[in-house]
Amino acid sequence: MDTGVKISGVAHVVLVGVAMFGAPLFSADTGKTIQISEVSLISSEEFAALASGNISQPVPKPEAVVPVDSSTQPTESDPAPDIELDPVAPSTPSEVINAFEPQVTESAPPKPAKTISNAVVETPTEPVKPLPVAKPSVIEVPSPQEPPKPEPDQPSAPKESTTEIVTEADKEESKLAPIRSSRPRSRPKNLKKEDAPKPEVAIEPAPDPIEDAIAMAIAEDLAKAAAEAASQPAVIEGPPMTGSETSGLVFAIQQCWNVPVGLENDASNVITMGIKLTRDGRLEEEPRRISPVSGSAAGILQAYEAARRALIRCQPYDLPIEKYETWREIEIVFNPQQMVLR
Amino acid sequence: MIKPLIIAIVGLMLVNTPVFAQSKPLRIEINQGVIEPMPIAAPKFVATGNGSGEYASQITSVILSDLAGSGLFREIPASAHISGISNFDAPVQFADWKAINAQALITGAVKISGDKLTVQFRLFDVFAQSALGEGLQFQASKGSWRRMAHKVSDAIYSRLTGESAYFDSRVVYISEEGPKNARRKRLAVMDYDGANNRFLTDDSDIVLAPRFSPNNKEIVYTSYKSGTPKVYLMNVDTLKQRLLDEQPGMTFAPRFSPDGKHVVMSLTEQGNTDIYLINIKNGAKTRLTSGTSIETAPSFSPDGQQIVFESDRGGKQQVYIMPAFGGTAKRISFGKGSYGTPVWSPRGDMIAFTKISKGRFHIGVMRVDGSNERLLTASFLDEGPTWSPNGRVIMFFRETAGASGAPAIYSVDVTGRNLKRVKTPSFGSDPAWSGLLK
Repeated sequence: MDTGVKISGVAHVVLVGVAMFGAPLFSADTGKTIQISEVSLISSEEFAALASGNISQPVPKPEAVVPVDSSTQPTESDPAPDIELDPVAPSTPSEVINAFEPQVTESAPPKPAKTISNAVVETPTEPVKPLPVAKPSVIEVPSPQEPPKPEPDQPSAPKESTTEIVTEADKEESKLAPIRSSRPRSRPKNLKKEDAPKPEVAIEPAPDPIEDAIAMAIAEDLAKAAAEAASQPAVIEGPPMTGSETSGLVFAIQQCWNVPVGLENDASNVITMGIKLTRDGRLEEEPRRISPVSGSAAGILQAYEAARRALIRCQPYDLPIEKYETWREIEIVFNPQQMVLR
Repeated sequence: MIKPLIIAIVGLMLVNTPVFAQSKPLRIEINQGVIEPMPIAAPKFVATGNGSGEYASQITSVILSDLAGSGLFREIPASAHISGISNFDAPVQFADWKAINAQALITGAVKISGDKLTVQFRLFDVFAQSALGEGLQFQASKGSWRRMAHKVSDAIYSRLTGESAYFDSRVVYISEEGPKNARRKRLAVMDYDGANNRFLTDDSDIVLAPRFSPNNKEIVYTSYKSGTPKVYLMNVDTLKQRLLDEQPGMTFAPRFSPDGKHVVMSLTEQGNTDIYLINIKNGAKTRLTSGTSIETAPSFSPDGQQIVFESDRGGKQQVYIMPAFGGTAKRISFGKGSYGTPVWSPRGDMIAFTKISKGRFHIGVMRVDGSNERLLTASFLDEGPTWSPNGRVIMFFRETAGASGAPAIYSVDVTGRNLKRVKTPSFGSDPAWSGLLK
């Protein structure tokens, strides 16, 4: 009878445990990397329909391209053509005189009432230092998260239609969910073993070490998790974004991201930016550079500036207000590797 | 034994409760962007001083033409501007430029004092509302206004793209006139955009394949002055020329070594063509290839360690690479058709070539190991690629078919985009790009 009670007790505990931990299994995950690889073929109308709303500011469409004629006409009206006899221009330009007075301070005032402005110090040009200061805790985030996103797996993911994109996003999400629930799943198995086939074992002291080890491991995990939780500011999680909401955001930013050509040459120019948004989807402060914190590689500065420009141009972001807590802070990885042309 | 389990479970449950809730920021990855010309605005530069107005508008227009001509930028026409710049040092009204979606703004000033012309400019990131780098100023005689404009363009291009530029550079080429069966050819040099054309020789002798020296002060070329093709060296400023190798035999297809001390070229003796290296100072010659096949069109790697050339040793014209001092050559072109006129990119990573396949001519590029071959053009006759100083653009010439067919110079981006004709006063062929001028 004692055994029966124990079995029943354990079974109940297991049940309750599964109920508790299984739950998150069914909830979508919010804080995960979401990769959407191919969205480029949607027409703007399709997209509008998909995202059911205006995603971003009117994306600048290259209308009538200005006649790009190589040859410059001014030649004829050359103000000083005769001097071309010594075209090497011995006396010429090269005297590059340095910057005149910085004046940037002056240019700061005209800033409109936008939130970005106060951050617009002249330094962004050498964006190396200021950014990391902003939020040290966030800097750690990318490293644990980076490994799980091996994006090579869909290098050639080609043309897909609107509906497929949604699917892909959903797929992505469902793929992520189980990762979280793996812990609870494995435990019931263990318990079952001890439970059904050999109840006597429970009475015997023998298996104790195993159980203890399990308990210890769990306790350790628990302590670690608690410590982690404590170390980070407790932010209340908002409801998760749906796949289409996230892919809508991704698409909007893609449309604003004009990849500089110098960058195309260097696949290593992956920039991670962080933004904070106000409730109306505007930037609360200037986008900050999370990684690389600095870099001397050619083009890294341009990569950062292009990413910053994209994030500024793209506002206001059209995101569900009821999920503000979820998207209040966003980390965006700008990865040009699939756009490398040579 | 069960207790710890229960404790653990309860504990874990607690962690899952909102009290311990933590959230990482939403994280997304953007791996697709747009590659489109960046919209830029350059209101007419502010002019100060007598007669500076004309210079200001010409300089502004050359800068815009350079940048837009690269295919990487798009000019927002002045008619769309909401405000202008009337004071170079006044704060910029970013909102006005943001409204027309200018991503970069160039402001500048042109001053004249005596014969001196001063050009100043600043570059702004409109959306970030900040200056990009510091302003710069160039000063020179009025006659060099075009070069100053190109220098401004170069600075802007580099700052915005992260790579070096190519606007302040020249091209030496063969200017051609007259009917096809009696073409008169002259050496000519022009700015990269076709401006400031200047002839270096008259049309009394047939000339071919000019190439700049690394310091851009000299050229080597082939001339029929003496009846047979011979390689000559010419100073671009003084126009003084001399025969490079006075010994008998045809010499052609010359090119400088990166240190400017040697010329590598083909020499034909008794019907056999091989590649030789010649010391410019003392005329000492080193034979780099041997055998009965035709080896020609040599081109040094930028580090001077290797030479790429074409050879028919395998039965068909193909591209090979050998050490700069000669030795075993390795074939790198393996596609269908034949390959010729290989040129090593100034970045060192690619080789441009002419390819003949199924009766069509192509300009193409491949990696140094022969991989990643890409054809950039196709026509009845495309030939003679030459690299821009930054390795981003390739110039070549295209000849049209038929009795009235004639050559013209074109340029194309290494990605195959932005194909366009370079204006020359008459027909043009065999262009060779200089390095960036100093």
